[in-house]
Amino acid sequence: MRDQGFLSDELLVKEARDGSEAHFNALVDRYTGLVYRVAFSVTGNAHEAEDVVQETFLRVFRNLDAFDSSKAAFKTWLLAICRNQSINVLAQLRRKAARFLTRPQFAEDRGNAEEEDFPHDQPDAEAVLLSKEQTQLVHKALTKLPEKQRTALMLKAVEGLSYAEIAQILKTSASAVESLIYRARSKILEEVKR
Amino acid sequence: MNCEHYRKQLSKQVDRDLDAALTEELEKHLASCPGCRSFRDGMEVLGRELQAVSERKPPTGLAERVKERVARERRRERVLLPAWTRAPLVAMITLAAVGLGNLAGRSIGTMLSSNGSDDSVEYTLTAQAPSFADVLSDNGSEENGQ
Repeated sequence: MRDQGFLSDELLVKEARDGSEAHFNALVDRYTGLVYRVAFSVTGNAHEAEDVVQETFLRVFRNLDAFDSSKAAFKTWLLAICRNQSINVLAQLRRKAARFLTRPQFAEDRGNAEEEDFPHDQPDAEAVLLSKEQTQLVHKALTKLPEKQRTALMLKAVEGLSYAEIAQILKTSASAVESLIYRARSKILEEVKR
Repeated sequence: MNCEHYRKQLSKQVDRDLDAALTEELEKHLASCPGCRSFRDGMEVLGRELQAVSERKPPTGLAERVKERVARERRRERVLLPAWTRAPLVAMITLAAVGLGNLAGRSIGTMLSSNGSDDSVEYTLTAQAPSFADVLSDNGSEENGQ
């Protein structure tokens, strides 16, 4: 199989639309990491993030004909799908947690519901090398942010997307994105200082 | 300008989205405001921490599992698709059969009428509407002016 890595997203999408499995797979190779990180940022759960990645690409495959490159770049379209999937999963997790925590024997733990929604994975080696405690504080503060603030911040700080790209994914304006990111940072700093 | 204004600017500066004039104005404020300097330091640390929290690799083999799942979906579609494609095919075959039948009927009729052996057949054939084969081949009959 020819290496598809050098081809533009647009070309890969075009060939994939024409039925090329190799070109679709090249898109999967290119974006699995990004979609996984965004899914994890929103859901806070590695297992759910993996499911979101699978569902996202399945939806992309089914709706490839609906993608309009004049309206959005493939990456932003893909991330918008990923975010929607992640939000659905997050809502399911919260409903499950709510049912669990409303059982009488767990009612007293309800104050920690937010943390229960986001089971913390084992920190990776890099995080251990940094200040483990500080990293965990930031992670905890992140989980307390509203989804939109958290996603906006992660798309900017981690993925380096522009305000305009994030605005397309979140279906809002670029100035609203600036504001979301600023509020997210302020809240995390306040939380970590406590 | 209050500190919140400058802190918003700081957030934009971290994102490398602040123009030179505003950066200069911000630096002037920072020189005289320890609170905002502390905020800036916090944002820098936060930026590094966010990288640490989020630089996670997808589980091994995830891309391959995605490809396999999409391939299964592709195969499923291929199995389902002929059901869609069969309908026009059946319609085409039916139309062709009707057309051929019509042509064959006309040929036999013409043959019989040229023999002049059966007046009732001749009457039936001359009275009928243009055949389906005529419509398909867009020949029409001379009587309807086509």
